[in-house]
Parts: sequence; structure tokens; C-alpha cells
Amino acid sequence: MCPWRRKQIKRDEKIRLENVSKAYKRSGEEDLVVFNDINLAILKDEFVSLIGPSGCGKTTLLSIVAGLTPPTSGTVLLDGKSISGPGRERGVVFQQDAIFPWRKVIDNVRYGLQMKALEKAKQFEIANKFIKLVGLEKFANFYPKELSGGMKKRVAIAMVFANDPEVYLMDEPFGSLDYSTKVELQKELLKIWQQEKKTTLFVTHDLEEAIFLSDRIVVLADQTVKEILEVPFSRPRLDALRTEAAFQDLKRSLWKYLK
Amino acid sequence: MKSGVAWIHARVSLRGMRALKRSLGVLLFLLLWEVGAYLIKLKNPQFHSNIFPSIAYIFTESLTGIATFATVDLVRTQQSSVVLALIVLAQNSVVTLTRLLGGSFIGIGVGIMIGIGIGISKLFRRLFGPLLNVVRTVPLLALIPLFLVWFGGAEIGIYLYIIFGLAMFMLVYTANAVQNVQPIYIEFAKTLGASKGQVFRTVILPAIVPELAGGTRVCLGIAWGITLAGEYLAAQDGLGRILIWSQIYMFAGRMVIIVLLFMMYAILINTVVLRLKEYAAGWMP
Repeated sequence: MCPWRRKQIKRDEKIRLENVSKAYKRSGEEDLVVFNDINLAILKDEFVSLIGPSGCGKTTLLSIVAGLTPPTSGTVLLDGKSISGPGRERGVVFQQDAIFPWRKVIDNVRYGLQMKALEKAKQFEIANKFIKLVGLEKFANFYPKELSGGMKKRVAIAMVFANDPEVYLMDEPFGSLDYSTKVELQKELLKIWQQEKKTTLFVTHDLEEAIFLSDRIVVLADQTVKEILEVPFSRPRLDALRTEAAFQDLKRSLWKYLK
Repeated sequence: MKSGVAWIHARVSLRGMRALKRSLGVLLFLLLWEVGAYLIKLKNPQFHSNIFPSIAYIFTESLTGIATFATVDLVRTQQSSVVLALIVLAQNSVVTLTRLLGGSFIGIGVGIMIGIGIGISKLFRRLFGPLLNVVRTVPLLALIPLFLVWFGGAEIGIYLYIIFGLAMFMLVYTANAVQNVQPIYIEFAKTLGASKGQVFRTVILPAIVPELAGGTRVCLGIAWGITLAGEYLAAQDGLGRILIWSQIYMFAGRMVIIVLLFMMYAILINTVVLRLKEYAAGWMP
């Protein structure tokens, strides 16, 4: 491989993981290997879910793509160029609450735009649009402490989406929510995603969530990519889909990987 | 209807009871004071007022006694001794409060700046961390003789003493606050495109405000002790000076007046800082 020659990329490929490995050093003991030699391509505008048993390294892999965790070896390519560190073109919705408690909802949502030094009127215009999109227009001037868990998640999503990244990286964003809130937010996420259409990598341990949202599901297990499944259901997807036999069959077939 | 009225009565009397209980504590304390003063009077009929004066004595003889601290220029104005005493108290309050607030302001500021340096820079931490850890353990009072030798009674010495004491305290507080900032906020900011400088300004600084406000409150509390210790030994004026001279000539009543003033000022400052904290850290969950 010649480093000076730009790597040949397949058309429409947005993210490519090449031989990505991660191991943690432990003093006096063998290294803890999280995964080895992961090779994976995510296409432009594709919604890919990453599932796997707990502790398989889903979050670590997402963090590597985000640039927040360096891989032990291997590279992550974005549009054919290897990434180093985090960047605004890869927006991350974290598992924990990460929205800034010292900023009001509106000021949180316009944070990325403010960092970009966009003119102020424009910041508010865009932020208000996304606050409306996640249904929080009545709460624009609230502090996060005054919001419920689901609302905070909506703010986080609005923050990332308003910043207009090329890729959404989501780490079990709805993991801490109750079922009905979760379903509600999944539908809203799909609605917004259909409008904005961005490449999305979505980590979850919830099979129903993975199937309902994704174009493809990547199973991470035994330190490697165990399986990649196409989700055959057409969009837009409705709640009724969740109880259809084909949906349940797919869910059942994925079950064995989580054990 | 009737029960409603009874309920209101119960509420009113409850509130009345609470106020009564509260003032009862104060009344009991004043009563005990008077009993104490009476008992001392029985034992020491000659100097009892110097050792344990009655409340009436404090607000008459002791108060006017403070007029003896008036400067020559002030005495020439030929005011009554009560007015003179009040002017003396006001003048010295200004002197002490200036030292306290000025010294605190600089000391807390210096502490915050060094603390932030230690909190965000590994190099800074390695260079100065061990030194500061050692210096920090020195009891402040042990440094008074040293400051006396270096600065005599000069104003700069008292200021440096206050600044040193508070900066040492505040820098530890600040460094901890910086290191306690949750990494997830910093990571989120970075993924949203914030540069290093922007992360510092928009994440680290606002995140440490509540802890800094808490530290400032504690600092202003200990600032009283430090300022007084400085004035006690080195200063030519200020409330601490009046306090020490009153002790030398055994005027307990004058000392009580100064202590009452301290209490008043401390409560006032604490209230102001609390308000500021509520304003600056209202977002805290």
C-alpha cells in the first residue's frame, strides 16, 4: 500500500474500517483484547446498527469512529481519508446525558454553530428549527435540570443534528428510557433521518430497535464482525411492523448472537 | 367553615410559636449573659465591668470608650463621645473591610488562576504541584512572625499575608474542580467542533463556577480570621487593632462591640455571596 496514493474507494462508501483492533494493556497480565481486525464499510446515507452481547466492544468501536478513542492498530477512513481525533463532521449522541447543564435548551442546540462562529441570527434560526423538529419549542428557554430524561435526549439529538454533521454516531441513545418514550423517539428519529438523510452508525443492544431503524445490522461478537444482515422492510416503517411475523422472525434469528 | 377558621388559627399560632421559640433562644442567651455579669460583679466588685460587662454597660460606657481611639484631628471636631465612637468604628470598619475584600479578591483570583493552570496543564502540575503541596501544609499563623520580619507593619505585608492564605486554599479547590469536570462534556464539545480554547471557555469555565462559588464562600469565612490575625499583630489601624488594644487594657465590652460588628459584616458578605452564587450557578440540578 502506498501511503501517498489516495486509497481506492468504492462508490458511495462513507466510512471504512480497515483492520481495526483494540486491546487494553494490563500491567503484569495479558492484554485485554476487545476486538481484532475489524473490516467494515458503511455506505453513504445508510443506517447501520451495531449490536452484540454486552462487553463486546460496540461502544468502543463507535468511540474509535468518533475519534475519541484511538485504535490499537488499523485505520478509520472517512471519505477515503483516515481520521485522527474527533471532528464536527461526525456528530455523536452519547449514551449518558452529555448536554451542557449550564446552557438553556436553545443555547445547547446552537452550541456547534456558535463554535463555528456562524452569525448569531442564523444560529438561532437553525437552532429553533431543530428544537421544533424534536418537539421542544415550549422548552427552548429551560435549563436541562428542568427536563425529563426523554427531553434531554431530544436536546442532544437536536444539538448534533443542528450542527449538520455528515455522519451520525449514536451510542445507545435511548438505552435509559422507558419503552413508550423509546418507541416515540425511534419514530421521531426516523422521521428526522428521512428528512436529513445522513450516514448513521447506531449502537444498541435492543434487537427490536435495531431492526426497526436500520438498513443493515452488524453483529459484533467474539472479538470480530460475526454477521451482517440486510433489513428487508421498506420505509417509512410504521409501528405495526413491530408485531409482524417477518419482523419477529428476524428478531429471533438475531437472538442467538446475543448469548 | 368552623374547622377552617380553627385551622387558620392553628397555622397562625404555629408561626407565632416558631418565632417565639426562635427569639426565646436569643432571650435566654441575653439572660444568661446578664446573670454571668451579675455573678462576676459579686466576685469582683471593682473591675467586673472590664471583665464581664452587663449589656447596658456595653452599649453605654464601652461604646463611648471606643472614642479614645479617635485620631487627634477627629477629637478636634469636638463631637460628643458617642458620635466620635461611631465615627471611629466606621473608619476602622472601612480599613478592615478594604483589606478583607481587597485581599480576598486578589487572593481568590490568584488562587483560581494557579488552580486552573494546575488543573489543565500536566507540565504545570508536575512543575509546581509538589512544591505547592508542601507549602500548603504550613499553618498560616506560623507565618505571621516571618511576615512581620519581612514587612514590619506595612500595609503590603498584611495584603500579601491575606493573599497568600486565600490563594493557597483556593488553588486546591479550583484544581479539584477542573479535574472533576465530567469528561463526557469535553468529548461532546469536541465532537461538536469545539477547539481546545473553546472547550476551555465554553465547558471547563462554566462547569467549575458552582464549585468556585462554594470555595469563595469558604474563603471569605477564613478571610476574617486571616485579616484579623494580620491586623492583630502588624497593623496600625483597623478593627483588629482596636480589638487587641482593648485586650491589652482589659476592656471586654469594647471587644464585644467589635465582635458584634464582625458578625454583622460576615453575615452581610455571606448573604451577598450566596445571592451571587444563585445567580451564577442557577443551572445546577
